[in-house]
Amino acid sequence: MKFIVSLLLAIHLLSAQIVVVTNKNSQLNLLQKEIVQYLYLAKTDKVESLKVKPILSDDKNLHGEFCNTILSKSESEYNSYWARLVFTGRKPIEKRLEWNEVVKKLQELNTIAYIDKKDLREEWKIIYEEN
Amino acid sequence: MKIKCLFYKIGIFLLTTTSVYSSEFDIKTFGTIGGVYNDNHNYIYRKDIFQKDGSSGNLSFKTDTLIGLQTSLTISEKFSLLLQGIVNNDYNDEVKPKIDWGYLKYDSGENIIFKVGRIRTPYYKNSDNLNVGYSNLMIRESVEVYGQVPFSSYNGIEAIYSNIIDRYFYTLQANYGKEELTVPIHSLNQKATVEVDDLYALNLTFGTTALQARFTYLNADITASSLSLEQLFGGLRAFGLGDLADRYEFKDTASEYMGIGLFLDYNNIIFSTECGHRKIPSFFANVHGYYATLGYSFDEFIPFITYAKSKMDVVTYKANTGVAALDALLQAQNLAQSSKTVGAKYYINENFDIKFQYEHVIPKGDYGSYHLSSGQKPQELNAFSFALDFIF
Repeated sequence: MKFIVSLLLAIHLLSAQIVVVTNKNSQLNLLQKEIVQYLYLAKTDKVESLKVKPILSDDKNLHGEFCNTILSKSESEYNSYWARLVFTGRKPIEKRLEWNEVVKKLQELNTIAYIDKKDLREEWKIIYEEN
Repeated sequence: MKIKCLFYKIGIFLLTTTSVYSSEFDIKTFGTIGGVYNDNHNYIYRKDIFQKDGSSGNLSFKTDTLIGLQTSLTISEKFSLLLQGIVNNDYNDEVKPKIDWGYLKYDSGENIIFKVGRIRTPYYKNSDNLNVGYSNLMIRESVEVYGQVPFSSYNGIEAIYSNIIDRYFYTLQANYGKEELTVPIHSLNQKATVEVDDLYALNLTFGTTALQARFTYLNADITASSLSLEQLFGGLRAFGLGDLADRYEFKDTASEYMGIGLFLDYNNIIFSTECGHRKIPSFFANVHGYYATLGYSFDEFIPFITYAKSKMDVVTYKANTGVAALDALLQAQNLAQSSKTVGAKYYINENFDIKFQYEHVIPKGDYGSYHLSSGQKPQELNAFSFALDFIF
């Protein structure tokens, strides 16, 4: 029993606390979960008249957890959805970026990215946090 | 030998197309290698009416195998050019490349997009990505709905407006254009030239990430002509049967398609259903149909079941107009059938998936179903299919 509890605790501690962030100087404020979903599913690219550019992380665990907890899809389902966007001529979200590229892209106003909360930097602000 | 020919042509198509690649272009590839075995020699199992050959008591790779290329050129932040072509087995039983769609796109940046060129007709949820197997759950969509309208692209314009109201999204599509194509009438070994004029369509999709609904309406003036059709209807009028000719001739016929769909993706449960009704008051006959698919996502593995049914508004296979040639034409329009499918999709990685499915099809009435009938009994088909889909 102790082993199972320890295992569950370890899994919980190892899981990333996902937050969606943007540049601190952006006019974007806290977003509803549904709006974050629509941005990442390319249902819209505007929030309150601001053109928003979502980016994807190449961190497999982080990306998987983002798909599961925020988008309510498995990573495989999101891959399939991404293929649908690309091959129907809609503007695709860029392929997954390395951490350095994510940091660089977040210098642009209104670019949003999901990160592990422990990696939050001073120049960013949280616009969505899963409870 | 024909399979070798198929892959040879695919190779040539790839080589010639990629040779024009430059860094200004983005080129992507998709495709499917698929096989189907239908155990009933009396029917040729096909993906749709545009295929002449398929499986009839043998393993066929012609039904689902295809390769596609998509090129895009971004001209500016707002303007881009997109082109998609595929190579597959066509209605002449030949493997040939063709342009599926291609257009100039203007993205206003204000939630409005305009397209001009050759555009996919938005009848169904998966109209746009029918050929991209990796993006679909099933090897092929239910023909009872997806097979009703015999053209999938048109030349014209499209406007798309998307926005959010509170926690709900909506997308409104409006289309206008025309199309000309050749439609085979396999059971009569004939082809008809079909002209689609004043085509306009409206499509509304709305909902949430978990639950979405869509409504589609399409209207067009359609004419189908061929030498034998002209002889038939000209002959009817010459013999004083003008009423019959007026009733069944397919000339500037005001045609409609209406469709509704409901889609759920919640807590790993996937459910989708679409109903469609084609109204073409001519020999081409009105038909309606629906499908319902239920699946469950175990991450990479998604098993599913589907039930689908199509029915003619008025039974055509018992046509008895007193004119044998007209009766034969009407009987050949019977698309009534039902099917049950069980299958699974497995995502291998970001580039590949594999799928298996078993389909039991019951044609209704003589000459029935979308699959080419010899008119012999029994009528039921068991089709076993597999596919490897890829994207790069």
